[in-house]
Amino acid sequence: VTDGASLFSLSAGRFAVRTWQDRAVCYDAASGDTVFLDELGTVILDVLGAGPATLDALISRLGERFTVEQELADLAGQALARLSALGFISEAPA
Amino acid sequence: VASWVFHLRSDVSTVAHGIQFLYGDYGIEFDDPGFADFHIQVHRPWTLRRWLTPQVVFEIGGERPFHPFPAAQAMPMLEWGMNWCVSNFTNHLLVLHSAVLERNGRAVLLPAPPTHGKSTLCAALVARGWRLLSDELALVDLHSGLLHPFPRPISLKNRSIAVIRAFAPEAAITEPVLDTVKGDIAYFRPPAGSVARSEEPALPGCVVFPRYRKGAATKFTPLHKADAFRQLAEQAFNYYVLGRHAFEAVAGLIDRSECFSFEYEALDSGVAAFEALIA
Repeated sequence: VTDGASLFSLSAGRFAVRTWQDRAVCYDAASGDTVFLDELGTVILDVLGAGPATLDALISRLGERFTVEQELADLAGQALARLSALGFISEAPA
Repeated sequence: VASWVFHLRSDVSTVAHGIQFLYGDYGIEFDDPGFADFHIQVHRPWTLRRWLTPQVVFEIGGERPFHPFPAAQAMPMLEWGMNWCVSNFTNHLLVLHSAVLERNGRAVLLPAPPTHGKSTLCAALVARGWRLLSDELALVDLHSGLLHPFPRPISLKNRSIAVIRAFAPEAAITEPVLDTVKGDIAYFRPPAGSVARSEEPALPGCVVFPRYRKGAATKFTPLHKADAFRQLAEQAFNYYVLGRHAFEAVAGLIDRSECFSFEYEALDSGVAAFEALIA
């Protein structure tokens, strides 16, 4: 995920999510898989729960929860790519 | 046995004695019960081995899911077969490989793979008055989240047999059956009080992943609930069969429970720690 013009949003209805503190466990009804998310993935799901966002907007919103360092943008990109590959979120032109 | 009716036929005398000793507090009927959840047999097959090296087989509905065992191991074969029946054919409940005990209205699950000391700890707690729901299978109601009892004999293996005999000399324990695939096995009879309450479900309060380790100090360590979820789901027999229902059941159980890992060596301090946990 490198395109700052993409808009990311949650895939509605496909997943059941339980969050405990900073981590989430998700059930994917499509595959039957159970997925365990780390802190960053959990926060991204939470932030996108408020509405779709571009990568830049997402990093800005993540900055309200994490101490923003240069590395965060890379990590957020990787986390978005993973969540996208899992089908949790979809990517569309902004 | 609790909510299940087993119709057993056997020509093996050790099975008859084992049933009488271990299941005497249940209402054993000697006639055909009519309806039964499981029609099982443990018997000596009519082969040449019947006279040379006697064996026993376990049958359910005419099928033999296991290889024959030496005749002396008929009772372990029956116990494992009964576990197999429930864990393979029960899908209206989430079935977890876990001991379940209850004290002061709170049930404690002890999920663990073999060799972690689950049954030894379970037997020690039962010997100190905890109610036994099960030594082997936690049965979780998919709607209410309640734990259904299945109080059957506690399987003690190898060194645990002598440990529990020393810890609870008054406990009713069978003579060991030697050299099974799991080593020497003896069975601890479920207390009459637990059997009498075998249709009374319990509310989960704690999930504790036990581990016996030589030299370990008795210690509870709080577990992140996401880690507890992962470890508990790994002990489910029918997680993938039940799909989202299982996910919700495990999540509900974790929501309601305090979650810990637990290391111990000494049973006295281990039991005391559990008493303090549930107080």
